Amino acid sequence: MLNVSICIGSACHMKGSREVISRLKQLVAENHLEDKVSLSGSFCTGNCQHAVCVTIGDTLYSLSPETTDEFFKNEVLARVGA
Amino acid sequence: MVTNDKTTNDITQRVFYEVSKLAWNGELEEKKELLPEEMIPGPHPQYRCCIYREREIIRERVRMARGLCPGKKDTKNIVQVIPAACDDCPLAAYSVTDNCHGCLGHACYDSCHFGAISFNREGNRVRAHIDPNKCKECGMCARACPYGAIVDLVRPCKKACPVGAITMDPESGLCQIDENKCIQCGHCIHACPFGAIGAKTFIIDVINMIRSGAKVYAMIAPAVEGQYGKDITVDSWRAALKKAGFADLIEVSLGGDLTAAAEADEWTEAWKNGGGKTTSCCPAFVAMIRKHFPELKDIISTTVSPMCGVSRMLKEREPDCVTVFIGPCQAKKAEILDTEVSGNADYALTFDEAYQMLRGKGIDLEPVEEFTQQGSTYGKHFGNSGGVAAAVIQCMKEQGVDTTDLKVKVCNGAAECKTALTLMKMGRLPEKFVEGMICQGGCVQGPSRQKTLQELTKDREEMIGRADSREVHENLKMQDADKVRMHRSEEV
Repeated sequence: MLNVSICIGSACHMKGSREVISRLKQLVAENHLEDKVSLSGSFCTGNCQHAVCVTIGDTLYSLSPETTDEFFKNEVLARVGA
Repeated sequence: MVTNDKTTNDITQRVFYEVSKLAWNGELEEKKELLPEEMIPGPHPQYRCCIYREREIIRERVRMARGLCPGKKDTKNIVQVIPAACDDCPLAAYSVTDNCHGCLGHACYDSCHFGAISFNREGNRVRAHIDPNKCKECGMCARACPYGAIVDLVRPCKKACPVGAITMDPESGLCQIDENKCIQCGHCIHACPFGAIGAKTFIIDVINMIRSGAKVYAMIAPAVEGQYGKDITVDSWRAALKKAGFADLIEVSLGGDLTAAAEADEWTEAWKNGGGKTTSCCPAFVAMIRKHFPELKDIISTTVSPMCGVSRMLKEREPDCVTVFIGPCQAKKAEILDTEVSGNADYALTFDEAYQMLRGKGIDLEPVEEFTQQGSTYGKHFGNSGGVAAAVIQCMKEQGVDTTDLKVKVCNGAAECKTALTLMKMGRLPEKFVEGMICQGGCVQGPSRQKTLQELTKDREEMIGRADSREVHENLKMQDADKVRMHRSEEV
């Protein structure tokens, strides 16, 4: 199971973490990856300059609602081999 | 209220207050490193070996108040061990004390099924000895000894954990929480006499949101009535929170009504089909089923919690608003991290965190004249053990369902939840419907409780007694809340 966690802290919230979450949920559902990818919210990890902060394992990615699709393709789909 | 953690709780609250004060003034980043020295000026330590350890503990607490892990390791759990504060108390559970007379009765020896007890001669005295490698911690010997010479030294945090998530790191001797097992109930936090367990908070996020000019709504748990005496009402909270910059405060007892109405439909359906259901409002109970009884997960009600119901109602009205839950619970913080449920609260605070956040802005809770009622008395009793089942049954009755033969198992506290779920798993629980609350007494006795059940019940009932006797569905209509989407998933 690939865990993708999205920061819901105030800085990320203001930069659109809620939109990122709903878009990722939509993409997971569209690609039928519910059994391979799990999404979860996370507390602020203090990397607010990179908001919206998304982590897979120990790697931090800086997203915005506009770059979510690209992130999904390059980082999520590539990892689960779909 | 006599507690195990009076002193450490005072320190925790002071940290919340100091951190809030800095955050309100926009000085947190600049001054957060100065807090440990300000709070522990020295030169003499107050509680620990030295001021440097005391300051390190404060530093780790400040990190948690900011929502970070106290130590270097970054993990997802809400509940966290504060490494500098853990006293690595002995883990060997049962131990023979000097009260052992070396008697001939040997009840301890005879009661032990595991051959863990032997007798050693010390000078001219004989004394029982427990082999820690053989001891299974059943406690039979302690009960059998006529002198009460055998004591249970199990770590208080470990004893408080209902799911066996606390173990000891063999190298450091410090406590560690198994995050795959932890249900975030927060019982260990107040059990530790050294205050070595705490929880991450959203205090800073909430303050930043208000400072940014966002429209932030507070939603207060039905467990609030009675916690701060009978003069501090929901309207007192509303007045104080508005002064701090919140747009308004909505009672989550209204959410109780929403959840009860939706759960009643679900229960009626399940009952007709010969099935069963559990309640779903206690996130620690839901986590207990998901993590420890996964075979029962389909029986969990698919209705969202009262917190989520009110949040969705607010977001349907104003999509850009920010919703903040205030309650007695730690597990609610984990509930909102679950991205599967949409529209849930953006942040959750405990009563203590919200109270100190207000104090940090120089605002206190004060008695007020106004009296507003947003929930029915059924929704208001969601915070008491038995209250949820009573509200669901009330809703079934309102819908014309004859509930005379409906049998509900009310599980008051983690131990009862565990027993009922174990029996259910084996198909031996007589009842098919279960109300589960991990805190004994219900949410009113959650980790951020201000008083014991005995201390608060009289005030609480008097306060709830001021509300009129409107029914649940009637209230939902009155509040224009009868169309809120209450199912977990998006499609339904």
